Amino acid sequence: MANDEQRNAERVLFLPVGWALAHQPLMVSYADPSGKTPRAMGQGRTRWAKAEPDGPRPILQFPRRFLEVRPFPPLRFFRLRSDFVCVQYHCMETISRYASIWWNALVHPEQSGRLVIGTEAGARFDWFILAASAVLYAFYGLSMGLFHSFASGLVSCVKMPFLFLLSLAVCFYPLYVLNCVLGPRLSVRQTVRLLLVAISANAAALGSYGPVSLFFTLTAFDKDYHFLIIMHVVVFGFAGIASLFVIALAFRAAAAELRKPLRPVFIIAWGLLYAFVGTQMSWVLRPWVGCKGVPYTFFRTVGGSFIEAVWRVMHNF
Amino acid sequence: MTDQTRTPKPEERDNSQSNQGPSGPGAPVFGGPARETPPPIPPPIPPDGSPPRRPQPAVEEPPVCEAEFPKGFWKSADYLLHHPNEVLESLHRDKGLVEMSKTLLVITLGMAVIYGAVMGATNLLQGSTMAAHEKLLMIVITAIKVPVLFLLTLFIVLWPIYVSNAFMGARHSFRVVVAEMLAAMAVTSTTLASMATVIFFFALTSETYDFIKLLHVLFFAYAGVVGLTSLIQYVRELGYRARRATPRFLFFIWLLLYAFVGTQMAWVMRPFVGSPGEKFQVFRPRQGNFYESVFKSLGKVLEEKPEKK
Repeated sequence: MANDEQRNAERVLFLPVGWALAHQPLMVSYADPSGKTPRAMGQGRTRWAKAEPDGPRPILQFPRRFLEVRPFPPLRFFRLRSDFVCVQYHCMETISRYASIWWNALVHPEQSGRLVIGTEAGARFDWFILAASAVLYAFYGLSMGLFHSFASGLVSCVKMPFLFLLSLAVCFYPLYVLNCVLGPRLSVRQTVRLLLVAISANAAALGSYGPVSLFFTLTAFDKDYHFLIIMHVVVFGFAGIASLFVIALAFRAAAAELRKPLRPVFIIAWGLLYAFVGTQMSWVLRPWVGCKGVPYTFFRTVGGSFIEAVWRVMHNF
Repeated sequence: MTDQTRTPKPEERDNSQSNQGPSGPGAPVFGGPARETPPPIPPPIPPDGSPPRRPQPAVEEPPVCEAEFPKGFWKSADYLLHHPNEVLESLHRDKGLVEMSKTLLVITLGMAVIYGAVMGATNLLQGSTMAAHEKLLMIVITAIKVPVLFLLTLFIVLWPIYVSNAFMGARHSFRVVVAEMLAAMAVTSTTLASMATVIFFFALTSETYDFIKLLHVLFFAYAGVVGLTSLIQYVRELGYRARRATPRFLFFIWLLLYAFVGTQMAWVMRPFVGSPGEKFQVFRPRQGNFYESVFKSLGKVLEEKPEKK
């Protein structure tokens, strides 16, 4: 029908016009929730078109003014800039809150019982920990791979989080059953959070060494490949041992919070199993550093074992 | 002389500057500053002379009921893992044991099937010389063999355990002993199935058959130890509740008996994984010994390193 077509055409035109009219100025200060922008971009008679004079909304809501009109294509793909600002503000506030909770849990692991049980933070905290650990591991992977070339640095950067998180995925079910049989009988969600806190402790320890490893990698000559390998192995070992203390205290706090007994065998078995699977995974996902003369490949053929390789490297060194 | 040389008590010590001594006001005061409140009174010693107990938490634990297994395989396995006290209560009251035994049997067999499938899949993942249909058949056959292994071991071991229990310890009825053993077997096979992911990962990424065989033996041993520990705890707790004697060294004998019967049964029912050089067979001819094979594998795995150098 011609009338419908004309109406549809009008609706389509509404979108860019509405978008242009509702366009917010670029400079919005995040720290100032009242929405007042500084007068740096325009002076005097410049009036800022504010769609929200009361300041950004704390929670993202579907803008009600679009509910009266049902244009085609649907307007949900078009958002006001203030909507993005609300999301960013809320995200940053949540992230900083989670970061402070996480840091407190790492620095005072004996008080992290309630966090693991789940009373302090919701399910989004698990995703935050996952992302934070991935970022820290990626930074260390970058420092490892930069020895060969920039591309190898990027590849190692991507592979490192997978190393630890895949090891955790492989080990999760035995650890859950061990937790039910030997240790505090945490539920699946609580076990996931406990293990993620443990992984993030390891990530924090590794990430703190990242700048030093970066320095060594960037200032090393080609012949220092074996030295670097040994340094990385030692660093991984120290980070693991350092994080084991944090992990043991976190496990103990979780058990104490639920008033259930915890046997030390549980923590030792956890450490052994994770170390075992982790070393095999690191062998499978090699190369990490990349010898200078050899062209860099994403993965080498599966063969041999981790211990044998370390033995060989120590002999060469 | 004693008045001047004895160390001053906390309430007598004077923290003014003149009394600090050569270390000065900033130095730590040994023994702590003077107390404002008196130290807390320790808890009274009970009249029978036993050592004073740690104060119990204010939250009372809910009373333990009989076990009620939910419907569903995974849910009932999870229930078994999370509520051993309820299972113990059912065993003690001797109620609903037949239904519980059926559920536990299903859990045992199901978990054993899972682990058997992963065991048989080793050949598929490592690229051995067997034909493709033989590899799939291996998975099915091993998935049938592992639960049968558990069942046969249970049947063989049940009678000596019942009789020794009757003679030397808590005299439970046959139904209770069967249910206890099935609960222990369910815990064993659940623990075993939990290692399936680890074994799958190692089968995918390592090429040495002997190493994987040793891993299997290790995981079976670990699961057996866990299951027997839970059996021992059930028997001991039931003995305490019925105020009957609890056998001590008998538990060790049960452990040995279970280990021997289990290993011999596994050797008789081999192959589970299938050596890379041998052809496909459902059962191999009776040759050698389980322990001989394990020691040979150990030797091969340990000898690998100096040879490859």
